[in-house]
Amino acid sequence: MIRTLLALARLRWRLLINGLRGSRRDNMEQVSRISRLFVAALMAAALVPGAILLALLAFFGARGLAAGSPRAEPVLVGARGVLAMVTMVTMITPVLRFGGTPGSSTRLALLPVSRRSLHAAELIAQLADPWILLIVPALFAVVAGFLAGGDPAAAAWAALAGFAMIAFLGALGSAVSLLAALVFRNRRIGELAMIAVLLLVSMGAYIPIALQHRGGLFERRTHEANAQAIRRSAAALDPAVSPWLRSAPWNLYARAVDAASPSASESPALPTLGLAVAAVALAGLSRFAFSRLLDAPPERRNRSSRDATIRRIPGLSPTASAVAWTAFRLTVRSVRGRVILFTSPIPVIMIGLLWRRSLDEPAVRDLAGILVFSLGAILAMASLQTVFANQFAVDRAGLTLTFLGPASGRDIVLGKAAGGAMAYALPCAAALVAAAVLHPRGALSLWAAAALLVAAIYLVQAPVAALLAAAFPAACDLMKLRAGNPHPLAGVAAMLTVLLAAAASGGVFALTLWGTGAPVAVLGVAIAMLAIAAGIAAALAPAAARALDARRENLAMIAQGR
Amino acid sequence: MDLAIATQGLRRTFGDFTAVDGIDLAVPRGSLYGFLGPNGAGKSTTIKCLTGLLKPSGGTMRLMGIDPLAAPEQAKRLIGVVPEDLALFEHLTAAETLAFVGQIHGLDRATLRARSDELLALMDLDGAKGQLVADYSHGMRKKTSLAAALLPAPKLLFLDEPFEGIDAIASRQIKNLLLDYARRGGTIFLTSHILEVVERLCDHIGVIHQGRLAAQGPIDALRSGAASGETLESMFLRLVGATDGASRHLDWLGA
Repeated sequence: MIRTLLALARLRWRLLINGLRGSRRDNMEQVSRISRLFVAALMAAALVPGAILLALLAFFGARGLAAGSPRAEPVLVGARGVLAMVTMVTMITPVLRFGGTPGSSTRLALLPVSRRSLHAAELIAQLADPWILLIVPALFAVVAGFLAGGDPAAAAWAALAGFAMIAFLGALGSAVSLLAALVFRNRRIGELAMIAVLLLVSMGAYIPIALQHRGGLFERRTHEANAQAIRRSAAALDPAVSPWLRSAPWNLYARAVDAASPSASESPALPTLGLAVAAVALAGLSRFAFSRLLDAPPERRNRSSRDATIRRIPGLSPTASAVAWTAFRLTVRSVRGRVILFTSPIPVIMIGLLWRRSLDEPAVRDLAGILVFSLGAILAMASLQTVFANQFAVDRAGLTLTFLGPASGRDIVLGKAAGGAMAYALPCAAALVAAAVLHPRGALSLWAAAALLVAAIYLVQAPVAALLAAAFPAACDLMKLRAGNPHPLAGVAAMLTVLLAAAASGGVFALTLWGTGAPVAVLGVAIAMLAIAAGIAAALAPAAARALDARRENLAMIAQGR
Repeated sequence: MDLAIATQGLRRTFGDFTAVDGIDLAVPRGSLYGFLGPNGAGKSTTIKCLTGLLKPSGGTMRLMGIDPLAAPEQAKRLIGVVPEDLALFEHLTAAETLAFVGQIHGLDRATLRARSDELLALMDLDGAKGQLVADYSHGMRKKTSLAAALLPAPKLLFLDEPFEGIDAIASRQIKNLLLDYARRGGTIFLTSHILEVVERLCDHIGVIHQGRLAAQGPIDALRSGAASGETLESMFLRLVGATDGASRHLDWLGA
């Protein structure tokens, strides 16, 4: 059993190290690879001070509890918050990690190793999740704090509750990841499940707003009424008021620690036992999913009827049109692309709803719709940089097919820009409809000016994104969420380009309106800005095409993960 | 001799490693040329250089008389390729893949549709028209890649392991298709580890070993130069300096 666990641990370690090591084909690729590692190392390093800080707070809080100090109470509130966050992340991360493609369990099933050992390895591997590692020192620090405060009995209960919490998180992560693997065996169901999860997560951020708006989302309220609604919503989330929240795992741990202190009236046994039972139940669910995964054959076949026609796009060559339609199809069919398209209008709708209730100034209310649309369009463009800033490598093996055909770099760059524009038009249209429905005010010429400025921003970012995608490609799979990110340098630079272009456009819009007070003048300036943007795009496109042609060999290899 | 592929001193290095070391290929037009070699000998690298996926480190190349380095798009209009990794978009259907390739090659819509329907029927893929390539089996992917290579009616076809992972029925269909293609004047440059297939299908072979061309020419001429009755397998093993493995025994195996 131990030997098997060691072998599986060694396997995971080798996969990690080999993944980091990679290979180098040219200097640009070396820069690209080092910068990726640097970003990953920075993120990992950021966790260390966080873990130390949490451990220190936990130590002094537990020592205070042992001494009966009322100043230690906020530590328990903090512990609830941190553990709630880690529980949520542990629950969501495995789903995002699978992201629509089933993992291979065949190799595991062929090993002469008992399923119990394999499952144990799976459970233990979950404990290596960075979010769980973040809180483990804090859970031990609570034990040390009680010992330092001279209360060994409380320390023993805290240790038991801490182990139960760690076991719960490990079992939760394992159960969710294995259930996700089962669901994602069918690619289409997996994609739908992924989008549903992402939509739920996105919507979840607006639960507090929804709670405040229980009286009616379209109803206008005073500031006082808003404040009352916020207090009411906060009260609904208080475990003392809502009994169902008392049994949440983070509260069970906090209750066990609180009850372990000398002044407590509740016994720590019940919440600790509750946590342990939840861990065992989740481990059982994880075991069930694991067995199903090894036994049940994966489903692959899906039937649907699709129109294969590729229409020539006016102004583009047949080759560029073919590239454009393929780029568009990738965005609208991939998990990552669909998630971006489905989720980007959500914040816009929520902001539109909020502004509908809170904007009182007539001059601002007249611009609210235009602002909502512009914000939605910029947010969507920023989200789509995931695809645009890695537009060549996202094609994976398909990029080789493109390169095998008689397609020039110019055709590919133009086709990608046109395909991106078609995909980008979808969330823009959603934002426009939402803005027009929620805030149907403002001069038509101002709406037109906003749309033209959004087009101008797209025109400027398109060749920049192509240049970045050619210079810093990253192997990725848009069918998965976790493996769909662009190179960090390309992603950040593309995002900055969008924000700078948006700030410039927004500034020109505001200054012209403020200076002239004439919407038609704003429209005129927007037309001029669009012409300037077209000029910039025309100047940058050949450079992007040259960069693509110079890097074809590397791009094709990186796109396939080599 | 009228050559479909002519290279001189073709080289490709990766850092210190030389994958292809100055080979002079001479592939006659209308021939079925089997390019053989052990694993890692440089077959796929050679094909990648010839098809424009890798830039050669040295040497010259001509495909149907065109220098693919000087006029890559012109050369690519004349060739069809089934690469080792098949190079397919996962998120397209087979029909959409063919539409993409057809449009890139400038086929008009009627021609594209007619050829696409014929190829999908021939490859037995018309029943899976609505499925994405991501849902295809390996054999279906290979057939899709072959259909994409054939669609623009190329003069020269590069096939990297075309029969690997294909069932016997499809394999027979593809062999007949390739023979018919060669009879009509098309040139095929294929790699395969299945020497029986190469022996039955090809009229010319080239053997690459450690990046160098060990032998090249009409298969019958190469045979007649060797010991009488020598099979292609024996000739191949001799050229690459391999033993038949009989001298090595794993005593612990089956003990």
